[in-house]
Amino acid sequence: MTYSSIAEQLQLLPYYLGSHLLLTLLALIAGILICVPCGVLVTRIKSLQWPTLTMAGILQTIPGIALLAIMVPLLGRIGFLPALIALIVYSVLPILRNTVTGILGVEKSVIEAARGIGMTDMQSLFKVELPLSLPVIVAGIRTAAVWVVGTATLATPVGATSLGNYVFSGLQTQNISAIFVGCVAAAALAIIIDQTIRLTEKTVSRRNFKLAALTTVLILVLFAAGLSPLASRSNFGEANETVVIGAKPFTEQYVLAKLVANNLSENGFRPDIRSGLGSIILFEAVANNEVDCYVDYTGTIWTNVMKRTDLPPRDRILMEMTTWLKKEYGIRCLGALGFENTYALAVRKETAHRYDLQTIDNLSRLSAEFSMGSDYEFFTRPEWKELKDEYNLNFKELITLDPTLMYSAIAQKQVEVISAYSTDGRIVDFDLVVLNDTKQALPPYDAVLLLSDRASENSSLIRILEELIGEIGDDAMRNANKIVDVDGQSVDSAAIYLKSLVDSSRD
Amino acid sequence: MLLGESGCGKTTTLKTINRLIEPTSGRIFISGDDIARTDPVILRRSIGYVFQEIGLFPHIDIAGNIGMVPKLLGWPDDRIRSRTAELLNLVGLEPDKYQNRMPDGLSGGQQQRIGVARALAAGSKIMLMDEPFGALDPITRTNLIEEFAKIQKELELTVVMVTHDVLEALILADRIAIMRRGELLAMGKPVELISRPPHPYVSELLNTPRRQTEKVNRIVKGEGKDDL
Repeated sequence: MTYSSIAEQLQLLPYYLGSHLLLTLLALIAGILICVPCGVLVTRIKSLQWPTLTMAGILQTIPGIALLAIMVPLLGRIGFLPALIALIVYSVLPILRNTVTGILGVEKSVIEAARGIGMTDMQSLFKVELPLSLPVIVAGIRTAAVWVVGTATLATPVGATSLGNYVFSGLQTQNISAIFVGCVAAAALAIIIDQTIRLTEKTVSRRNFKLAALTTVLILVLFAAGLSPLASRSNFGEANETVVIGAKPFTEQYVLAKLVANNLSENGFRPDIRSGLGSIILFEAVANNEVDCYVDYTGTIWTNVMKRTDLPPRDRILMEMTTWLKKEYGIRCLGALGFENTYALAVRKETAHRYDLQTIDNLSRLSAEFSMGSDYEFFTRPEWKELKDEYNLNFKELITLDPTLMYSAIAQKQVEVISAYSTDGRIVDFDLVVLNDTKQALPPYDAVLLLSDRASENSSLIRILEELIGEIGDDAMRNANKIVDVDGQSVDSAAIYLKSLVDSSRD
Repeated sequence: MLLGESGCGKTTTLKTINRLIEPTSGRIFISGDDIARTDPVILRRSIGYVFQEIGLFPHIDIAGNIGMVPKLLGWPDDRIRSRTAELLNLVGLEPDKYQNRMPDGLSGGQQQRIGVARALAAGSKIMLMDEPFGALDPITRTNLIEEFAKIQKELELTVVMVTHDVLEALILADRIAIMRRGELLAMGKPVELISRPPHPYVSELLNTPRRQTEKVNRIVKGEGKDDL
């Protein structure tokens, strides 16, 4: 972690922070507008109290990331809206609970006095009960604020930009500076929002005008910061067309997304990268025109989306897939980039030597003694079932890991086998041996560039993207990945490296 | 004056008068009007209400507490201000010193003075008082009872007061209603009730202060506490 690498990350801060802030503020405001009236209602209609609070309690037990994930199929889309709704749900319990306890905690004698001197129920509520329960309600809002700021970092995998982009991409690309900046920014934001709410309460309850000025300024600054990404987008919007580029959560995808983004912005487009999306979420987002383009792999589409189990030659797969995607989803496949990134079972070199392992077939007799580690997806994919059945693999234990940690796990002998990516620079760096798929249980995984229906009508966009087709070979991609994963340089420098290769081959 | 043991129905009876509790049967008239036909909120604003727990609004200063009902009634601010000062003088607290204080900075006796001032604020001629002096220490209490008796005469207030303190009832009341287990046992002027008790319980109850005084006298004379 150096000053320059942090400075590089800080350039992204206004956009990430602004998006994070907007998401958080809107969720909190909606949470307050929904939960405070509901809480008041519940204190008036006692029979609603138990069901409402129990329901809120149950919602709270759902882990934040699960709540975010479930909003995608529920709403049938990715991005800002599902994240916002999940965060609103997350803010319900503390605000609702504290509103109810706050109002019920107001001294009975004071409420009797309010009724006795002739206040209506509304007057009693606004002049007596709410002012007296304000500290408790505000405490609930502050709890909700801290939770929402924290949980919003998990909105990245559902396609909403947040400070989580730092953390997720930092984890994948081993960029400690990114993780560090993300953590510090999220913590600082939580503190600032918490203190702003505290000041607001003080201002309201003490009617202090100096405080009021300070609070107003703080709130305005927060909102301005939250709206800044939107404003900058709409300013450029007229001249530049926004193109949303999707990326799955691993290094290669980040590098390719960055490469595409750089090429687009050079040509007057405004690229917007949504990174860290899962394979299926990303595919559906392209099908729904929410993401304009991304890189996928023929084998992934063939087995997971088309549900095919037969394995024709790779050219036929590419051809059939292209026709099928156009017909079923309107998605246009621009063509293969030139490299293949297949799942490859890899073992440590010493393991390979000791047991004389060269093919996956050799593993079958040993698998009962071995543990295998893989990424978030592989064990749930049809390819794994195919591979397992074909080679009669029966591992002692299957461990799902973050791709980055998967390599550490095999290096530290916590697992014996991993599902490496064939373009991964770390296979060489960690001294791993790839076992041959002699029975061809796995399909080919040629990298292809996919375009949404909407984007495929844009001829100038297609012209720019077509420059990449067939230009990135296996070695080029492996080197680019190595720049990030092994050499510890930024995604941007890997993208620049790839671009220089593409440009020089054209010249 | 409603007099009787705890749980005999005094407070319930009192609260039916400003419709904090609706009677299950029977009708209540104020100046000939059936209160069941008056809007409860308007009714309550025309009747002062003082109770043992005082119930000052802790987040509002003294002036705001006293001026609450006039404000609900939509009086102009300067009229509320002068009325507040007038009432503070009436209950024996200097306006300049007290009006901007918060309720929790006051003693129990001072708080109940504010409670009385709040009940009087809109100029109501009817006051409901539920053991208003019950939680105060004996000296404060005696002072307040005497001062309140003066205020009542001066403003010609009609007061319905709940108490279980016989002496307080005898000193303040024009008429005493004695209740027991939810029923009205007797009603009349204090002198009448003592001299011609309609029921043995009435006689026993009203003679309690006298018996207590006799005991005190015996103690003073040194006749020992054991008889107590």
